[in-house]
Amino acid sequence: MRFEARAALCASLGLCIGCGQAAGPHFSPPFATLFGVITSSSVPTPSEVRVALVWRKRDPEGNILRVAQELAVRADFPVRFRLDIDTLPPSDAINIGMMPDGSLDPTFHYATGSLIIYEDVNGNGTLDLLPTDAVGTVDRVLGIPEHLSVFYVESSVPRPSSGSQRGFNLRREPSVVDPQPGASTCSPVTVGVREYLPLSSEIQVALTASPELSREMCARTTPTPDAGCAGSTCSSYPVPPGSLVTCNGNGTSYMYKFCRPTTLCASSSCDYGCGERSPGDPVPPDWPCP
Amino acid sequence: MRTLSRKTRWRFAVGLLTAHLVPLGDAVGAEEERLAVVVGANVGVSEDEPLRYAESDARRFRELLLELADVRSDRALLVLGGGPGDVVRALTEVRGRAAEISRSGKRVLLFFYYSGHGDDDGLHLARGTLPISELRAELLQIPADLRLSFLDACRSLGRPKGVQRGAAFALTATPDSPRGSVELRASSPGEAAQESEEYAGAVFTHFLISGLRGGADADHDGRVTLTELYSYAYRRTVLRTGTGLALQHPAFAAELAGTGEVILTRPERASATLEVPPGADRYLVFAIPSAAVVGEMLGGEVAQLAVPPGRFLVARRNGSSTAVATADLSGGGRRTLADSDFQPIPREELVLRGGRLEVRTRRIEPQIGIEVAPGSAQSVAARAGAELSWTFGAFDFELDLAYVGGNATTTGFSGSEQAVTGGPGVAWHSYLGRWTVTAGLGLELRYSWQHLSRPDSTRAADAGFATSQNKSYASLGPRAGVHFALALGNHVSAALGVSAAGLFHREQASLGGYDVVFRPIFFATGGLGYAF
Repeated sequence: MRFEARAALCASLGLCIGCGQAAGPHFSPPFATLFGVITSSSVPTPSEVRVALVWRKRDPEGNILRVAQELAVRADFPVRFRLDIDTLPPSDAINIGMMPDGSLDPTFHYATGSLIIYEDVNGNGTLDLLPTDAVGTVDRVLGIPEHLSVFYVESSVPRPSSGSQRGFNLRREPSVVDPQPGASTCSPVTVGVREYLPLSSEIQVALTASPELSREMCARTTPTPDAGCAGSTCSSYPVPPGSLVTCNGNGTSYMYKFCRPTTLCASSSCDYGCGERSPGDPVPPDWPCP
Repeated sequence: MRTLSRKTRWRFAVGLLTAHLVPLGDAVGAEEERLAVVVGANVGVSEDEPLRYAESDARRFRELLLELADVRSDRALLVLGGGPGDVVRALTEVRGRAAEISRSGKRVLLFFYYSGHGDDDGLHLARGTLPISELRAELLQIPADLRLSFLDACRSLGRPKGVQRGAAFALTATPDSPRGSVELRASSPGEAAQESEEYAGAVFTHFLISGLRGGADADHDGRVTLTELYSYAYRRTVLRTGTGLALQHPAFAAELAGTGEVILTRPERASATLEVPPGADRYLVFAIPSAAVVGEMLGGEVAQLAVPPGRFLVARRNGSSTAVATADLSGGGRRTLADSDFQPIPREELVLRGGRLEVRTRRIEPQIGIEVAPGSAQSVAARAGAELSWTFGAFDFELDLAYVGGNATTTGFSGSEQAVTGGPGVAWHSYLGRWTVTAGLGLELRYSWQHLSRPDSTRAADAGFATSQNKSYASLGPRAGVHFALALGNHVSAALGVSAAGLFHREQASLGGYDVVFRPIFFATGGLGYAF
């Protein structure tokens, strides 16, 4: 066979193979892709680092139910990672929207979730959520991006934009901070506003493996609103033993926070109290500030 | 003139063979010119059932005269389907030419051949009967030194043949070249002559032609004499018709004067010759691609047959088995076939009409089956199509075309995938009794369509995502398989096949880009083959 003929044959066969692309058995283009970076790490990065999207849903009794969805991670751990969301949130995680008059809106569904970076301690490939009476954890939460959630929207009818779009959204949540000594209100304070970010925004997370992060693995929690007081109505004195006390600079006002000890996933609440005296007044007995 | 009894006929034959020992008068010499009138009539009178092969026999006989008997084309008149007047006109024309040749001092030999219906009244032609007495009178008026008549006439009932007993010839001998009239008839009085589906012609004519092509050359001197021809045609016709319903004894009548042999053909001078080995019952030679029977050879000893240039299929019958060989003599020459040249033929490739052998080199096989492709989006699929194959000896060229369809599932989608697939291939086959086993290699070319949807398409649509993907792609790779076919009859065979192929194609990655991947597939098919 002449060279030209062989070349033509090879070219034809090559063109044949090069014609079109098939969807293979693992074909599943992601619905959304998130990008993140580890800003700091106070714990050694384990080999089995995984990322889950834990969706939170409030049931009619007000309990928070959590459903975990594993994410495909293309990691350049320990610094950068990329998350591919290739499935929709589980149906269990979907909330039904509310109309302005408080009735249910069947055309609007949403879900809110948090990214959880965890160590798959038992190696089963999933984040093991905890029962209410759990006394320990199975997997270990390494870090959760602060004040950041994933907001998912399904809407069969157009509606005025609130900043979110159909599909997956990245949302910055306002932070809730403890009251400051001397403040007019002795209750947790919300700082900042809810803000939607581009999906391409870089998600920053610090790996701390802090024990309180483990509560995000609870499948069900019943939160009790934190209680506070304001002005003369506060019964701020004496400070309950075991409280966390914060004083101002000259020691004339303070704020305490008393959280009742509880199990990992049980209901819990904290009481806040504030006290203040005039600078010229004598220091009362058991005044918590120096 | 008289008709020889069988005993007398043999005496006559022995006499001619004895005469063969003396220097022969070369009847095919330069001083002799040969003329021929060849008549064929499928349709006789109204009571006659039309014959199938009378006219084709006439054509074959004329071609043989031109090829081996030194008859020029313009001197061989052919009358097909004509009436008595057409035959008489042809004889009249030949009479004039013979007279002209005679005036030039040359010897004239006349062949007259008739194939068609006939009875005691004469030759049954389409528009009437030509009385045998009138025919003989017309022949006698032709100024030929020697007149050779071959009458293969057939009565209508069951297509038997018969010719009226003729007036006796006076048998004399003089020192000159043979002169007079000779008449060879297909059967004796009271017998039926027969057509044969196997030979696609009359039995007697078949052996006349085979004998003239060299089958009758008993002394292997490269020449076929009148004696040899009659002896051969007589024996073979009796032997062949003896296995049928009606025995047929060819008859011979002669009025000759002179000495020397009458040499009819010289197969040694043929431009092409086929030679077959001994060890078989017989050989039938077919022309390719017409499948016309060219001649027959006995298989008891080395035998040869003069043939016109062309391609031939030689069928060897030995007991119940049949094998074939092909010979290409398009450029003439000699082809000596060896045992190794013959390939057994499966039953479904034989035409069984009367046992006539015909190789069906083409075969189509509709197939249905199942295809398995582990590790692919379409792991199981149905396959339906057809395979067309051409046989060349022990090898086949195959062409496959099939539809493949079924469900397809990926991690994120599910739907269907359909494909048109197939390609060329070559295969080698062997025979195990009624089974034909074929092993082949080929190329699989495939074009596929995928229609995929997300399983939660309503939610995905509400979330603003595309819910379906349509993809098409081509793939290509090698294919190998084994195929088992069981003959069920003359044309049909049942078949099972298993094949494997490895296809290369481009596969889209979930996160963009693509990879060239190799996908093995396995398929099993069942089908019904039809050889034609």
